Amino acid sequence: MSTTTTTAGTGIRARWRWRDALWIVLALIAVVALRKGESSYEQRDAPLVQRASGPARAEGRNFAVEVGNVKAARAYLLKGDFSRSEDLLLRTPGLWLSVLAKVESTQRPGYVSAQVLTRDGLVYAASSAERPKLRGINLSERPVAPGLPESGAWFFEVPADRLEGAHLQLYWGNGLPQGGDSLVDVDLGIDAARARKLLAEAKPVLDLR
Amino acid sequence: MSIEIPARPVAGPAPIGWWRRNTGWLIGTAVLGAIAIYAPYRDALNEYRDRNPSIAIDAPKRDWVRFEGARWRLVGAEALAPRDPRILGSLRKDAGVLLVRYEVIPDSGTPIKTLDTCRGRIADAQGRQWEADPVGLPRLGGPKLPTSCGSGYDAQFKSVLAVPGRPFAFQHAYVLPRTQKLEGLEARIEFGPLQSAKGRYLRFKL
Repeated sequence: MSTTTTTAGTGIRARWRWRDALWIVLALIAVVALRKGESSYEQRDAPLVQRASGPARAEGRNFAVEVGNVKAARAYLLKGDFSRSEDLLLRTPGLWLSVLAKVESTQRPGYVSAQVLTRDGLVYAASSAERPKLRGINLSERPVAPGLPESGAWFFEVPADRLEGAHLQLYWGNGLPQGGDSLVDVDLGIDAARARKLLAEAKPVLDLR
Repeated sequence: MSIEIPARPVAGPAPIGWWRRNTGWLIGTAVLGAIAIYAPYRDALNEYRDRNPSIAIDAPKRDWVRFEGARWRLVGAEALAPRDPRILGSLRKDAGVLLVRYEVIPDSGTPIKTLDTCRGRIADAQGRQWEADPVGLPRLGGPKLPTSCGSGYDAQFKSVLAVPGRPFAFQHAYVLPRTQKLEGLEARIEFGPLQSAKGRYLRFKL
């Protein structure tokens, strides 16, 4: 009688050991699968890219933008101001690319920043509000508020051979967008033919006085 | 003669199921899991609220309300007409100016520096917000009032300070879209993350 009981108990214990081992193996498989599927730090820090193509209205977090015409120039001629009476010739080692736009915040007041992404992945931040200093035209560091759209242009200094395939990227605030924040990517529609045309039409000195 | 009673199978105790055996562990895991999820969420929410106050303290119309070591009162709100002579500088054509006047009586012991960290804000029913005294605000004429909640300059450009127990008048000016109606707007007084407001702000319905 006692022998039978011992055999039955051993059977139950053996069955449970197999079941435990199976659970452990499944848990390990799950751990490995989850770790493999986990997003990297780069992916988590990356902004949420919202693609658009001009000239339609594009919306990002807290702002909306309508991108207009694109123009290139070798240098700008600017009017002097109170600190410098003579006119100023603003040169660049590359090419000045200006992108006309109308921008508006949708919820809170603040700033919209812009950069150009070239086809080979280089990023050129928009030139500051002082370069060129064109009050009411340069959109860099211009505060925007809901219901009060601002029109003007962002100015970029880019190499002349990197116009083709360039995209305009926009984000809310002065700092680069954090992970999950919106980065509106507008295709400027500069194909090879348009890039050649922009270069051909780029004036040596564009008078902005 | 003995009577033989046939042996009956003895019903043993019913086996306890896995869920019942592990009830304690399951409850403990659920509680700890909930804490592990909620605690960082609460910290992040508090941190966000410090910078973006979202808990409104409603102020009755024209009556005093206590907030951040002082009593506050909305004195009036006035939308200036486009050709109002008090608008001395240039103003964009699609915008109008809104003046909101307040009075504050600091409690004794409330530092003026604390009151001076206040921020004014206007919000509409859709949640759109505008900040007080923005870049595009034109130069304004008329009675000059401080734009800060605890100190400023009067019409003679003399420094004035809020004194405990006495009303201190100040004014916030806003640039809003010209089509914006006054009805449905609310004026807000907020404080920065270093103060004790902790996500609360003062709300006056206009």
